[in-house]
Amino acid sequence: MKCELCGKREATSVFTQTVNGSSKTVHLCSQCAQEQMMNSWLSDFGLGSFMGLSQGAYLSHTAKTCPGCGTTLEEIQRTGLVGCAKCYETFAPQLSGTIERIHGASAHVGKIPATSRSAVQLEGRISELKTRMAKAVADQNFEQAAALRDQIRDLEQQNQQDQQNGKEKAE
Amino acid sequence: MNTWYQQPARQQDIVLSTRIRLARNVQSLPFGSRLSRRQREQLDTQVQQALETIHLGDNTLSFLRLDDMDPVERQALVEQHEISPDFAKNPDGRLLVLSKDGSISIMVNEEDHLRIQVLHSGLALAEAYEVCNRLDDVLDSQLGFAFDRKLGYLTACPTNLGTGLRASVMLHLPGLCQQKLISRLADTIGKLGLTIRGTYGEGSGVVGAVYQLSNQITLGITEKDAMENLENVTAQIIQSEQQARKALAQNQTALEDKLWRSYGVLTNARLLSSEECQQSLSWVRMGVAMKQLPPIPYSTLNQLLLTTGSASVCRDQGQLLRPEDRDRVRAGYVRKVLQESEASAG
Repeated sequence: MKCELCGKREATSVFTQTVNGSSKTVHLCSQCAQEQMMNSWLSDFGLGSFMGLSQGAYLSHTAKTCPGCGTTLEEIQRTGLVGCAKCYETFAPQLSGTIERIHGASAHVGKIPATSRSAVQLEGRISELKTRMAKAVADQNFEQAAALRDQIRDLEQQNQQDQQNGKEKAE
Repeated sequence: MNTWYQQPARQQDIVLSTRIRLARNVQSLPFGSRLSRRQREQLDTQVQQALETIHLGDNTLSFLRLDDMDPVERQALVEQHEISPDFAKNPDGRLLVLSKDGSISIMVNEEDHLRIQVLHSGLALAEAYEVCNRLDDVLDSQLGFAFDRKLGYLTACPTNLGTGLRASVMLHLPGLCQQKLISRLADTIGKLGLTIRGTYGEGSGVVGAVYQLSNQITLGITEKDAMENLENVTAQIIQSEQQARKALAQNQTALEDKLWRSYGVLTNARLLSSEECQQSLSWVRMGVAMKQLPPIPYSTLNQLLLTTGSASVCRDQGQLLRPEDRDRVRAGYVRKVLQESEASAG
């Protein structure tokens, strides 16, 4: 089978995307596949439009720049690469849909680096206490709710401090 | 010390090699495209310092500045899968950390700050990942990698977000290739979150029926599941390839002729182009796996496959060769390696 993009070389890769329950498949040669996947995942062309991305949808945001590195959304679209870790925060509304379409998921479930592990545990504990506090309020057990509120406040302060220390260490 | 492709391993009849690659970026720095030359060099130094604490026994690490290498040397490393074609093309401020046996290669200042790569012969996903994971831990403790609770490890390209893991196996599929079953196989594989590419030397066509199977998705899947998925699909492809080879063997005389001709080319040719070399090696490897040809060790076949590219041949000669000289040198090298292998076996 010939590549559906260049129509010249033999197709060796198949890309399947599931969007809202319906899946589409496209056959590409290795060269086109590489170019499409790695460089042009956001461009309004070939696989980009196949993935349901269109430049029009992003035009209104292109003027925004990342405070971390000065990258614009237009540059990210053109190169397929973000400029720094903060870009993912800055352009989260524009990127989240794309990320979900590429991976079929939006949340990481793999390895957590040791430096983040304690923060992850702390946040889990905080969220558990918040659930208990909500229940205490619902049961009109205000004394217990207040005690839980104080605990949560302490843990959140600790979490913030840890993050601050981590950042200082990284810098 | 043996090089990585000479290690004994499972499934070498069909799986040539395994590769694990982790994409990582340092939290405190802008990503690759935004780094100045000075920042790149600083990162090179930081990585080198971070790795000074790691103990790998005899498998010592070398730190190679790409600017100091000549283009032929860099291209030879591409042919041997140690570095990516893009990494070789723009040496500017880039560093390669390479272990003595070639099994570990860390590209510094590639698309991401670090590409930590571990190679192993045959099928050895868990073994390769273990080494890669250890390097990741050491480097993270020293450098602090960019990580987000929701998106996982942050990478320059969103296609690598999450685990940043690309696990690949190089498969030798002459049977399926002959039976024209590859595109159907590619169809099925695409639905499983994997991709199969005809890359032997990225961007080039398929030579010698070597295909690279790798995971496509890195977010929302654990490293373990991604590798299990890859291993399961690999096992199924191995079965299909074995069946395809059996089907080829039904026409015994034609098959034997093909295999022995290729064997004849490798052991006798005086001029051997890169393409003819890879094609013949492909048939000979299948012949050895099917016990139709003399038992050349896989370590020798791997060596020939990885060290007979044009740049590798020139590098060993220490000079740039004209194409016709290259073919002569390559033919001589292949004959010599096969003779030595036979002598040590006998």
